[in-house]
Amino acid sequence: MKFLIVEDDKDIADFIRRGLMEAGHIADHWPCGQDGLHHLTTGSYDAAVIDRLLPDIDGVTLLRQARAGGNATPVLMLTALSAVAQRVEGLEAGADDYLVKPFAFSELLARLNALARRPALNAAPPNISLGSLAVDRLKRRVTVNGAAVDLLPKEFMLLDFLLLHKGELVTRTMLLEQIWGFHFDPKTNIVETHMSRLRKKLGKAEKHLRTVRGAGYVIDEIR
Amino acid sequence: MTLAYVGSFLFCMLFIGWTVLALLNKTLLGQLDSRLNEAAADIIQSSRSELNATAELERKRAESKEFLYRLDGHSAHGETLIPASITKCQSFDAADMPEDGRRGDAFRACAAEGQGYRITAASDIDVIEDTNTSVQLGFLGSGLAALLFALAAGRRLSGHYLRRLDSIRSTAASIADGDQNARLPLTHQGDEFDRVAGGFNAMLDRQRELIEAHKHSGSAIAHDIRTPLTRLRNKIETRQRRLGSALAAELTAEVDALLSLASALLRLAEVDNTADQKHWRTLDLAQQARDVVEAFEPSFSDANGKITYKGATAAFVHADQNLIQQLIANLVENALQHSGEKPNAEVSVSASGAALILGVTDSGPGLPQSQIERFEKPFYRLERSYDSSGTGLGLALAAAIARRHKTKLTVANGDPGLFVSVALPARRNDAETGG
Repeated sequence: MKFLIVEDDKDIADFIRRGLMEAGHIADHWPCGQDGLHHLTTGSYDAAVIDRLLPDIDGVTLLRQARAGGNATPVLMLTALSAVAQRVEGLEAGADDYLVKPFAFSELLARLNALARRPALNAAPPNISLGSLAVDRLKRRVTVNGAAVDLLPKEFMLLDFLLLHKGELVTRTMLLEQIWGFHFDPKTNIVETHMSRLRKKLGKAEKHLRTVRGAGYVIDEIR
Repeated sequence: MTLAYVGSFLFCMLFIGWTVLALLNKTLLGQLDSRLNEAAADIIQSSRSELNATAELERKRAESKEFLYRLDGHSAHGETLIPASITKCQSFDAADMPEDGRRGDAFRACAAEGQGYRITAASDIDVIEDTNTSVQLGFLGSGLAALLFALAAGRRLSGHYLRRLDSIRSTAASIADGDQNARLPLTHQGDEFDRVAGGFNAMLDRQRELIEAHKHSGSAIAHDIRTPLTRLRNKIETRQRRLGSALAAELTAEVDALLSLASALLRLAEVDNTADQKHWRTLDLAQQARDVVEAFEPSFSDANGKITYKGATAAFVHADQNLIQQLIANLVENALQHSGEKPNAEVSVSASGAALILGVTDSGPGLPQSQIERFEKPFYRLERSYDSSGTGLGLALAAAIARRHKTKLTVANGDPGLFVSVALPARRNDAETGG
């Protein structure tokens, strides 16, 4: 995939670019807002990483202008502060996701993957199956080998979110934000405890769920 | 207080009035006496014999009706109603004095002796009494006017002072609420209040500088330390294969613990230093509490315990949703940590007057009274051993969130366990009633 990075901090930009290239992607980097805006609107990117604070025009303004011009490229905004106000402002300007510096590269990559695939998610099928596991997303019904599995709403949301991102790493923070709406980091392993409930209920089908230590989860076909 | 002022004011007015009146009386009487003496002596001096004096007296009577005269010698002559016994000067009442339109009841008479006879000159003293009355009326009138004026001026002045004091009080209150930019208003009239306010503001500026410096040192360290920690974390991540996944995960967990400490410090500073309410909205506190209970339910049951929600089905407050979620979560985590082997916790939302009480009760041993009292103090941090989060900041952050919502955490020993609560003003649900 092809990503655009608009970030004035050279170290962070290099860190992101190298990581993306190592993961097999193409990354263009521009250190200032005007160039970033120009390339975001004229180029064709799967997703963009834009810093909130830039030397010329700030990230929020850049994004507002791009969105006003009809550009719909998924954008992940970077910021140094976790202030809720800033996050909301970024999202209001048209950012699709928000990440607080410093971040683990795996977190950024997982989010970019999710963003880049977002257009496909809008057309997600109402039924998803994986091996013996079948999910009816409209009726919110889950079966394993045809036998109904009784999931709590949050457990269903967890499974559904993972299935929509099949084969991709979904991080703990992404799940906290998406499933619980928690934009902070609880010390208790909320995600882990719910995930282990889900595993128990899925029985044999839990083999599709893979834990990536220190990062998150992947749901996949069994190789 | 005001009555005491009015009382002493009236007393002073009466005292001054009385003194002035007494002095005035004395002076006027003195003047009258000397004129009477002069008139009596004048007759004696100008008349050698008693007969001459009689003629002179008649002449004077015809000339002016100012004074009345009496002559006492071989026989009495003149106004016989003037008592003969008067020596020097004396006042007397003469109810029988013939009324001639000018004479009153009270008289003053002075006598002079010589050439073998005595002349007494007398005058009514109504003039003096009239003067007395007008002076009294004048004093009473001006006293009342002065009193009313003083009351009005005092009221106006004290109102002015009270307003200035009130502005100092409200500024102090907003500073206590975390608004470091609040300053006392200046009128630029160069009065004492402006001087005090100026000094106060200068002190606040200095204090803010110090706080900023202090604050920034804390969050700057936290901020700076995050960058190398993140680099370290990324290195562990990329060298996972060489390190072995078990070791890599262990190292990552350690680095993550440090990173979350730094984040917690930054978050604490952030919550304490923002006063912006742009993103506050009306939200269902009961719903937030149930969501958190649901999120933590597996953690409690994994430890053979239980977390329950009790209380209102819907209860609205005006607040920052993210912070409220974190507040409840931090209190629940605290309960989980301090409830021993089979942790039980109850989250509740109940109405108390115009407020909603969000509370979390744990099944732990509670806190000694001394710690509870210290806990109530604004910037108190619980001892590390008690705090749950591992960063030592979980409850501190909860307290900061409470402060941010202009309230505070309250702790009390329940039966059993500790009851930590926060009161928030209840809000009508705009979304519901407004359609």
